[in-house]
Amino acid sequence: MRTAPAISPSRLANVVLRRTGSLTHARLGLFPVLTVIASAGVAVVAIGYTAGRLLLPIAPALFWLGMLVITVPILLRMLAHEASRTERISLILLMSMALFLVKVLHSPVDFTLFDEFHHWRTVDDIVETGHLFSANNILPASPYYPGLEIVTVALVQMGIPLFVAGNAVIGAAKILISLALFHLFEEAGASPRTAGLAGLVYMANPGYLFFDAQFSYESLALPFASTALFTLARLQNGKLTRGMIALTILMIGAVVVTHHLTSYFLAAILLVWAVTSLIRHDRHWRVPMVAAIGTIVATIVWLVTVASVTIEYLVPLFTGAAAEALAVLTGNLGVRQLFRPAVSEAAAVWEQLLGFGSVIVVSLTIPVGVFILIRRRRSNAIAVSLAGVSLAFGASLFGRFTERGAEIAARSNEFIFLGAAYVVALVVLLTVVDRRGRRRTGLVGGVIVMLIVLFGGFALALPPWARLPGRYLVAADPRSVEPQGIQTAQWMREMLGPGNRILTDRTNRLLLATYGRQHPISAAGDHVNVRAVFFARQFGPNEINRLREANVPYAVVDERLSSSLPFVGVYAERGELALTGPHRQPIDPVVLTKYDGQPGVDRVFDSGDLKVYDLSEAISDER
Amino acid sequence: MSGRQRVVGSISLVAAVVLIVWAANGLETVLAAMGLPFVLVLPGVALQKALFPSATGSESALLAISLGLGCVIVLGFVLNLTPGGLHATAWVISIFAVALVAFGVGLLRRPGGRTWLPPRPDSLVAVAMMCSVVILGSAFLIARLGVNEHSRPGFTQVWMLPGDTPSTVRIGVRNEEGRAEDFALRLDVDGQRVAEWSPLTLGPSQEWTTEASVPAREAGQAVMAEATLVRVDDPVTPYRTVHVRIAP
Repeated sequence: MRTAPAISPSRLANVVLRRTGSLTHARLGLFPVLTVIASAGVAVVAIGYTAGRLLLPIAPALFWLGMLVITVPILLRMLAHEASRTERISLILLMSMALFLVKVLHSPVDFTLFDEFHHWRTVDDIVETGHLFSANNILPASPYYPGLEIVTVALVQMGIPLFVAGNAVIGAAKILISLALFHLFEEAGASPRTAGLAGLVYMANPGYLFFDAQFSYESLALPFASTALFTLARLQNGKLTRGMIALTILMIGAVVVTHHLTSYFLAAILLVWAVTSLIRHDRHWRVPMVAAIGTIVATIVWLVTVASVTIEYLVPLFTGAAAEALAVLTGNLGVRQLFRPAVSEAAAVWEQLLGFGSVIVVSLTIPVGVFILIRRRRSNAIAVSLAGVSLAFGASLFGRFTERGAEIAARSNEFIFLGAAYVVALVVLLTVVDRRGRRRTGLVGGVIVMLIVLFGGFALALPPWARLPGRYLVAADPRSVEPQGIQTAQWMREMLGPGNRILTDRTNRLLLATYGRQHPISAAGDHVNVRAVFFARQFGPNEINRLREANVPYAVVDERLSSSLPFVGVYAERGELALTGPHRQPIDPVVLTKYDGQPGVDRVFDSGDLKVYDLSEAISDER
Repeated sequence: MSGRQRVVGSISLVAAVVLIVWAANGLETVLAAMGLPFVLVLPGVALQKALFPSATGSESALLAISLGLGCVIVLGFVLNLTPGGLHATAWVISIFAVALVAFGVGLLRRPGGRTWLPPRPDSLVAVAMMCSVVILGSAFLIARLGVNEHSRPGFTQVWMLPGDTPSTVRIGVRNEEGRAEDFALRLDVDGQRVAEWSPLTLGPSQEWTTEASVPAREAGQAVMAEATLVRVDDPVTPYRTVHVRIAP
C-alpha cells in the first residue's frame, strides 16, 4: 500500500499561504483577515483574564493561547515574500494595537500598575490647580516632566474620563513608535520586509508589553525619541527640509520635557551616532552632531533649572547599582537569583527556558547581525550607529545579577532594542531568504527563532503572579489593588477631607494619593524617615516623637501584610531593607496592631483588614 | 463613488453618529467623544498639511501624530503661563487657532491637483473592521464582566467621627459583603451602653449613617465612645470596632 508522502512544514506553510489568496486584499494583502484573527486572540486573552479573576486554573493557558493567536499569523505573514510594504506597515500597527489591548484588558476599568498611580496624581493636581509643577510626593520627578500629563489633561478637561484619556494617549504613542521605527529602519537601509520584522522584534523587548504600555512618562517619551531618530536619519540622508528640522526640534524638546531617562539615552545614542559620523566623515555629519549637542544642552538646562529634584531621585539608583556590583565582585553580596521572585515559587520551567532562550538567541544573533549590517550598510551612518547601540545588550546582561542593576538593565532594554531589533531581524531573514529574495527551507527555523524571541520577551514582561488577575496578594502591585483598599481611600477623602499626612504601606500609599487625594508620607518625596515607626513593634515615645516631627496624624494599617512576604520585596518603600534587611518572614502581626489600646489613639475606621487610626492627640504637643 | 459623494457621505455619517449619541447619552457625551479627535487628531493633521503637504500614507500618519502630540505639549506650557492656566476653554481656543492657521497654510501649499478626501470605502476592509469591532467589544465586555464577578472576600466598613455639634458622634456602616446582612450596632461611652441599633439590615453596597449623642460624665470631661458591630447570627463576637475620644 502506498502511503501519502510526508509534507514538510515549509510546504504546508506555502499551501496555507496560497489557499488564502481568495481573502487577499489588492493593496493590504491578508491584513483584513489577520485583523479578525488578532481580535480573536485578544478576546481569548480577555477570557483568560476573566478566568484568572474567577480563580480558574485554565487562566494561564488561555492567556498564552491568545498570545499565540495574535502573534503567529502576523509573524508568518511578515516573513512571507508576497506582503507589500503597505501591508507590512499595517501588520506592525495591528500587532502593536493588539498587544496594547492585552495590557488594557488586564485592568479594563482603572489603572492598577505601580507607576500609573504616580502620573494619575500629577494629572489630578494639574486639573485641580490649572497649572503645572505642583509637588507630587509619591513621585517627585513626575510634575517636572509633564509631557504625558499635559496631553492627558487636555482630554480630561474636555470631559473624557482619566482612564480613557490616559489610554488614548498611550494608544496614540504606540502607533507613533511603530510607525517611527519602521521608517527609521528604512532610512537605515532596511527593506520593507526587514523593517517590518525588526518592528516585531522590537516588541520582544520585555518592557514593550506592559511597562511601556502603562500610563507613565516613558511610554510617551520613547515614541518621541524614536521619531526624533527617524527625522534625523531623514535629514542625514539628504532630505533637508524646514519642516523636518522643525519636527526634529519639537520631538527632542518633547523628549526632554517628558522623561528624564529617555532624554539621557537619546543623548547617548545621538552622541554615538555623531561620533561615528564624524570619524567616518559622513555626508551631513553635522546633523547628528548638532542634535546630540542640542539634546545634551536641553537636558542639562531642564534638569538644572526646572527638574533638579530628579537628581536625588536618580542618583541613588545608579550609585546603589554600582555599590551592589562592587559588593558582588568582592564577594560581600550574593548574586541575584534570576526568575526567583521575593516570594514563594519561581516561574514555571518552560517560562524560564523561554526567557533564557530569548536572551541567548538575541545575544548570539547580535554580533552576527552587526557584522552583516556593517558589511552591507557601512555607508549608512544610521545603520552603523544602530549596530553600535545593539552591542550594549551584552553589557546590560551583567547588571541583572544585582537588584539595582537588574532594574537599570530592565529600563535600558527599550533603548538597546532600538538597535538590536534591526540586527536580529537581519539574521532571522537570512535563514528564511537568500539575497535574491528566494525562500529558503529555513522558514520553520526562522519562525521558531522569532517565537522564542517574542515569547521569551512576553514571559519576561511581568512575573507570573502579576501577569494575570487573581486573588489578593501582599505588596504585589496590580494584585494588591482591590475594592477594600480603594473604598478606604475614598472614605478618607469624603469624611476627613483631602491632604492629610498619613503613614501607610506601599499599596495603600498609591490608593490614598489618587482615590483619596491624601498625602501619604514617602521618604523620597517628604524627606522624612518614618520607616522605623512603620516597622516598630510598639507605639512608644520614640515613635510618637518621630511622627510629631514629621507631622503625621494618621496611620492606615493593612493587617493582610502579615499573611505573606511582600511579592515585590518591600512592604512600605524602597530603602526599608536598609532597616530590616531582606524579609525572610512575613511582617509580625504585632507591628500592625501596635496602635490599638494606646492612649491618645482613636481607631476611626475598621473594614476588617484595613484600619484607620487618628494619632493627632497622641502626637500633640500637649502630651 | 466620486470625491464629492465621499465628502458628503463622510460628513453625513459623522453627523448621524453625533445625533444618535446626543439622543442616547446627552450633549456631554458628545463633547467628550469629540474631545478625543479634537485634541489628538485635529492639530496634528492640520500641521502635517501645513509643514509636509506632500506626505502620504503611513508617513503622513507618523507626522500627524507626532506633530499633534508635540503641539499640545507646547500649548500646555504656553497656557501654564497665562493667569487662567490649563482649562477647557483655553484648550478649545488654542487648538482651534492652531488648526485654523495650519489648515490655511496647508491649503496654500497643497500640491497641485491633490484634494483632501476621505479614503475610498472598501468592502473587504469594512467587513473585517466590523467583525473586529464586534469581537473586541465582546472582549471588553468579558473583561469587565470578570472585574464585576471577581472572586474576592467581601467586607463591611464601620466608622465613627466626632459629630458636627459637641457631644455627638457620627457613625456609619457600609455593607460590601456581596449579599444582604443583618447586623447589630452597639454604642458604649466609657463602658456604659448608651444606644443600640438592632437589627440593622443592609443590602449589598448599602450604607447606613446616624448621629448619636454622647453624654459626658461631668461637664468638661472627655469621654471614650466605642461602637461595636456584631452579626445577628453571632452577637458575642465583635465583627468591627471603632472608638473616638470626645473632648468637652
